[in-house]
Order: sequence, then C-alpha cells, then structure tokens
Amino acid sequence: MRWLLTLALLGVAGMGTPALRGWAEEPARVTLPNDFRLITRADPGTDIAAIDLLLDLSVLDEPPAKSGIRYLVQRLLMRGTVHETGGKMAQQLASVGGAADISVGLDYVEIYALVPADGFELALNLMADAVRNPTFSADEVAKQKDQAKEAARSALEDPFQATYLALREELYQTHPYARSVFGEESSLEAITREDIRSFHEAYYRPSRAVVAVCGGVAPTRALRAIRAAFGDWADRPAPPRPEIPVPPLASSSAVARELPTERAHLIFGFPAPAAGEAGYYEMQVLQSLISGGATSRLPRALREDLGLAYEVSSFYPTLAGPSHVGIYVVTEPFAMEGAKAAVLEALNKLAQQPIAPPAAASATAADAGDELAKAKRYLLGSYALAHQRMKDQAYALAWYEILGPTAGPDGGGGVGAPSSGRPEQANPAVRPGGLSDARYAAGVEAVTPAGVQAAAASLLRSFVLSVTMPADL
Amino acid sequence: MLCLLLSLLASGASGAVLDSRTIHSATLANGLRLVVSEDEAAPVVSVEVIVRAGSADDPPGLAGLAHLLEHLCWMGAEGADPRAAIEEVGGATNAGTLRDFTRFYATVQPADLGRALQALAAMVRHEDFPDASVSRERTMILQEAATRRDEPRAVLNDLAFQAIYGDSHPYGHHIEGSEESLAAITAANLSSFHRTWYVPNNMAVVAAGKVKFEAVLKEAEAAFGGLSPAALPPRTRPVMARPGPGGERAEGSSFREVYLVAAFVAPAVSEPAAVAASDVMATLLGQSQVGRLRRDLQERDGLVKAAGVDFLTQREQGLFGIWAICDPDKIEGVRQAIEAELARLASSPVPPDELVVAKRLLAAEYAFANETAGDRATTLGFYEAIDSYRFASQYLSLVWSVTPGDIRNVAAWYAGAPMWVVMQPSGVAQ
Repeated sequence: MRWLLTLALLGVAGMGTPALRGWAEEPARVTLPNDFRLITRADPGTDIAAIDLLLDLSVLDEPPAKSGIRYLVQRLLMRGTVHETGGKMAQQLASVGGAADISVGLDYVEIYALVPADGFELALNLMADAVRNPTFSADEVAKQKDQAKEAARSALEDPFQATYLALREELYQTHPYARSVFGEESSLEAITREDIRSFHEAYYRPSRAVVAVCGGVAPTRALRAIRAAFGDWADRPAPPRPEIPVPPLASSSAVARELPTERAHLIFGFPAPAAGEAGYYEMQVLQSLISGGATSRLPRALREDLGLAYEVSSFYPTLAGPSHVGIYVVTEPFAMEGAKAAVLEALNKLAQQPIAPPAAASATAADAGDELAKAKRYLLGSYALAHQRMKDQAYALAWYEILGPTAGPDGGGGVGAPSSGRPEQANPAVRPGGLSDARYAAGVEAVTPAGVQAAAASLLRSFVLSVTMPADL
Repeated sequence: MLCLLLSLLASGASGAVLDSRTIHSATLANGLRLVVSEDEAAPVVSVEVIVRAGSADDPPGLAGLAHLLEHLCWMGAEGADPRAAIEEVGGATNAGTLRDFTRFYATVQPADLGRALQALAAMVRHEDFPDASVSRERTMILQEAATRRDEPRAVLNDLAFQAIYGDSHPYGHHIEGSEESLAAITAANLSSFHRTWYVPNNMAVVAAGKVKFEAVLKEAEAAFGGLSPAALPPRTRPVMARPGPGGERAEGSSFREVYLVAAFVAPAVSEPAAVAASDVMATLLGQSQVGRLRRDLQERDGLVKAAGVDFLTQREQGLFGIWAICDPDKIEGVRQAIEAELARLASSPVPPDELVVAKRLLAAEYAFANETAGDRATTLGFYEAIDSYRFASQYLSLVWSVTPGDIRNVAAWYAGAPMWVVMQPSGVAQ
C-alpha cells in the first residue's frame, strides 16, 4: 500500500488545531564565522530528519531579461557537482531512503531533504555539495532549460496559476513580484550557461544561506555535521538588491483570460501588509473569518445560501515585501456574477458592522459563540497543523530567519558585511523581533474587532479581480 | 557487499512505524470496532470514523450514491452542523468516499476528543435527506467531478478502472457517478443505503495521537454505544483473473500531452505477501528519482516526460498501473519499453543491492507517510476498513522479507498482455 499520501490528498488530509504549546524543544540558533546560519529543533520522538536550506535570493535579484534564472539554477544543483554526477547523487540519497527537492519563492530559493535520521549526514553533505559545487554541464543545462520552459508553459495552462499570475501582473505592475518564479519561455531561452555560472558565483554565499534541521537529530550532532559541510565556505558580499517600489493601485480593476477549462476561476487580490508589518495579524484573522474552514462566512454564503461555488479559499502569502490577500473562487461560468457579489458583500459587511457580539454576550469573549474567538482558534489551529511535519517546521524556521527582524520592503535579509575571523556565535533561540510560532500566536490573539473592521475597509479601497474562464462564453 | 547489505537491513528495519505495542483495539457490544494508537508526544488527536461501504456498494444504476450520502452526512442539517462544533475549537474535519469504504475524520486538541467523537457520531447518524439538500449536493458533486476532469492523471486512473473492471465488477464505475445516475437517486434510496450499511457492526472508530485507550473507549461508548446493529447483506462479486482482460482503449482529451497507462489486476489485501512484493516492484520501477522508468525511459532514452506506478491496495483485487506522459510520436516506443521492463523483471532476478535500496525507499516512504497523528489514523482506518488495522504494523516486515524470487513471481503476472489506455490530444493531426 504505497499510496497513502495519494489517499490523504484525495480527502484533503486533516487541517487545523491549536497546539503551539505541545511542540518539541525550543530551537537552537548558531551563526558560523562565515555568517552561515543554522537553526535546529530536535524531536527525539521521531526517526525522520528534515533538512531545509534557504537562500535569501529574491525575484528582485533576477535581471528582468533573465527571468527564471533562480529556478533554472536550483533545478541544476542536484544534477552534478565537481564530485558526483547527478545520477550518483540520486543513488546515494536513495541508498539511505532519502528524498530531496527544490522550490523557488518570490523571496527565496529552497533545497530540502527528508531522510531517515541515520542518513542525516549523507543527505546534508549531498546538499552542501549541490549548493557549493555544481558543475552546470552543458548537457544538463540544455535538458533543464527544456524542462523549465515546460514548467513555465504548464503554469500558464493551469487555471489557478494562470489566474494568479495575471492577478500579480496587475497588482505589482513594474515590481518583480509581478513575474512568474519559473520565468517565461523567452527569458529562459535567453539564459546561457555562463549566465548560470556567474549568477551562482555571485549569489550563492554563506551569508545569504540558512539551514534548518528538525527531527530525530540531536543539536550537537547537527551542528557538528553542518560545521563540517559549510564551515569552510568562503563568504563574499553579493551584489546589492535593487530597491523597486510597488506602484500604488489607483483604482480597482479586472483582468480576464480564456483557457479550455470547464469552470470559471476567480481570484480577488487585495494589497496587504508584508510579514509582521502593522495590520499583518488583523489581515490573517480577517481571512480566517471570511474563509477559514467550511463553516466560515464565505463558504456558507456561497455554498449553502446560494448553492453557488464548490471551492472557496483564501490565501495571504508571508512575503518580505508588500503582500496581498487573495480570495479564490471556482464556480460555474453562469454563476460568476453571483459569486463576485457575494465576496464583496461579505467584505462590505465586515467593514461596516463590528463583529463583536451584542453587549450581553461580549462579557464572555472566550465563549464558543464569539465569532472572532472562533476565527482566531481556527487560524491558530490551522497554523499548528500546517507545522506538524518536520519538513514544514524546518521551512518555517529557515524562512523566519531569513525574513529577519524588520520585514520591510528590502526583504530584511541583510546580515551585514562579511566578518572573517569572528568566532562562531550562539544566538537567542528566537531571533529578536522576528517571526516565530509563539509570536504568531500572540499577534493573532491581540487582534480586536475594530482592527478587523479596519482591515476589511482597507481591502475594499482598491483591488484587482482576475478571471479565467472557458473560451466559448 | 554483504556487510553493507546487512547494515542497511539492520538500520532500515529499526524504525518502527505504527508499533503494535502502542496500538490497542476493542469491539463494543453493538459490534463497533475501536482502534487506538497512543502517542504521548503528539500535540493533537486525530479521530476517524470508517463505514465499510463505498462506491462499490452503490446499487445498480445508482452510481455515486455512497459519495452523495457522505456529502449529506458531513454537512449535517440546518441548525445542527457537526462541522461547526469541530471548527469552532480550532479543529479541522473532512470526509471522503473510496471504493471500499467511507470515512469521516477530524483533528482536534486532546481535550476536545469527546467533542470530536460526538460530532463525527452526529455525521454518521444523520438520516434526514430533504430534497433541497439532495439537489444542492448533487450540483456540488457535478462541479467536483468537473474539476477532476481538469486533472489528467485522475482521468487516466478512472479510465483504467473502467477498462479493467467494466460493468462486471463494481470497482468499474466512477465514485462520483454520472449526471444520469445522480439524477436517479432519491431520498428513499439514500435512507435505504444508510439503514443497510451505516450500522455499528459495519463501522470502526480510530483515534491516533495524544490519547489513552481507556479515554477513547469511554467517549466512543458515549457517542456510538446507542447505535443498534443490524444484519449485513452478503456481498457477491466476481473474482478477476490475473493479469486482467488485456486490450487497448484510445481516448481523446483536451490535454496537450499523451497520458498512457498499462493496467493489470493487482493482488487483494488478503494476499499480503503479494501486496508487499507488488509494492517493492512498484518502487523498483516507479520511484521518482532512481526507479527504472526514470533511469531508462526518461534519462537514458528520452522517451517519457514522466512515468510512475500507481497501486492502491483494496479489499478486493485492485489495479496496478504503470503510467507515462510523452509526446504523441513516442507512444509506440513507450509501450514497447514498458513491456520490455516488465519482461526483464519477470525473467532476470533483481540485483540484491537494487532490491535493498528499493526496500529502504519504501520503508522510508512509509515512515514519511505516517509522520503525523492524522496520517496514522488514516493508515489504521484504511487497513481496518479493508482488512484489519494489524496489517499496518506488519507491513514493514512483509516488505523486508520480499525476495528476488517473489519479485519475479509477481512480475510474471504483469508480463502478460496489459490493458493499454492511451489518452491523446483530440486536436492532434493524424
């Protein structure tokens, strides 16, 4: 029975439960002399180890004409180094039962492995070799370029991704968050092997990297292995990140495109604060009120009252720069207008009517009848469940580390000039001012009814509606 | 070499997944089965209610009934929504219908165990099916099916089931049913199915996470103890001959690429050694990084864009499918290459080191797939539904005992003529 994962996907495997206090040991944070940062959270109760290596490498660092170069470089990391061919690397990882993959976000690039704990060192060393010594052979570059172009093309054929990309283009305009992390077929085509080598040379630096290790590996063991794998990686400043403002959204607008899908895909996009900025937690709670779970406001309104859409969800990416809230609705094309009206009505209602219960009930704010308290519990529950797996914990630790204490538009990832000769440094368990599980919970708890109301009003000021629908309408 | 093998074997076998010593079970007076996996370190508890009836039990002509019933039960009634009881304490709930069974599940904080079991009990006891709700959910399901049609691998899988089982076996029809079959379902049909199958002697409650067996027993008695058992009707289903009917189906599609699958009749859960050998073989062939399909068909010969193996163990003989995605001009080459891979497995023994790596990957995958309390409840519920939860604890030892000879025996079934299902873009020039 190999396909339990498939089974879980079929049923949308479990979600939300507030359990922040039940978590394993507090993380340990260390900065090596070359400014390489590591963060570990041991969990003696598991035999699994997750290793997540993030680089503070933003879409803002990509030359516009070479859009997608980060994706291409990441794809090539495990495809051969000065020590091993790609095939041998895959074989070695398989021999300890490990699995590795890469991803690319707007603010970072990621390489991660999940491995039975006794294969931890082997997996870590492979990852270090991949990140530090890739050869970018001409053969592999050609192959991976083809596959990257394929990914870029597929994204434009996938209803959600196509709708979301069109939305970001309109929301961010000249800002690089408007671009696809895969790049475009033409920009990928324009990337040469030399571009790839020099991009890697310039940006893949220890001071830009964070590795997080979670699971059945003791912190001392993790530290020893990481020192050996990354301690002699020479640092050098990477080129400065360009400062590019997001043009303000003057008025609301709509974009539409056609795809051969059966249903209409709508995303409302609203400008929203960067991670940790003022209004961040209010927006999180607002999103939970609107579409957190099957019994929140929008699913009820659309599905049960109007019998309209089957799928309603919302998302609020934790970004270093100006973020956005998206409300995603999939519906029959004929029902589109009704769905649009329902989304705006739900937001209008939240902007106009305080969600606090009538005075008599407000005395028991923690009571289950309090809609705001429920939305917060659901949000924290979802957060906890989304961080149950070692991989997800490691990702969050590394990403919060890169986000840093000031989550301003510059990405907040700068850790200063190289500091050769500085000794290894143990850091406070949680980065001061940075995001953490506990801080997230506290931020959510502190949200007031007035804060939610203000957040709803701010969303309605201007937004973008992106629609993808079948052509024959 | 031998030393290396021994050390791999030893370390691979050491990590217990779903250790039988932490799992307890009981049967209530009304026949309800109870399975509990205790894990003091888990932050949550996941509970699952299994009803041993799925789309394979849909009455003739009423395909989609089991799934429609699951929707109605999960949604609850106006003013009595069991989902809200779970979500308002920060928990999550969902439900699903498979061919052999239907599941309702939730994850909550340990303190909310009783609340979650009460809510799930309310779902399976729900027996009020007003026309308005039935017609609303029918619409929702048709939309759900439309979304599924946008996913090529899902469509391919449905086609393969249909091709192998046809009308002669209830695994052949779509879980969602069709517009016609859904339209034919009445409230009386739903009530009758509910009365027949949603009885405690046809159900199991599974809990995994930070709970104690005694506590679950007490709460389960309170929530489900009042249900009355009833005699279950016999199930008579045809036994499929291996390797399956063989043949060829061509389908047009709106997807850009060709999706094809070689489908065979697979072992049922009642043949555990063959199930384990099939799983190891599926890994040897289809593992995404080092499997033979990846190594030979994709990397070496450039025939496919992706390829893999699907095999879900079921109560009865399931389906073993080797799928690939390729360009239209490669179809013939891909078919020959897949048949050659199967013939090779059937004729020459797998090298011992390759076999050990495949087992290790499979064991690791099993550990990764059972990382959370929710995962473990899913696995235990799955096996309790189609056989016994004990299968979950024995699975790894079955995998480790697979020999090269076992692989050859299983491969010999699959080296017979497959059922080829080929899904091609409709607009392609002939």
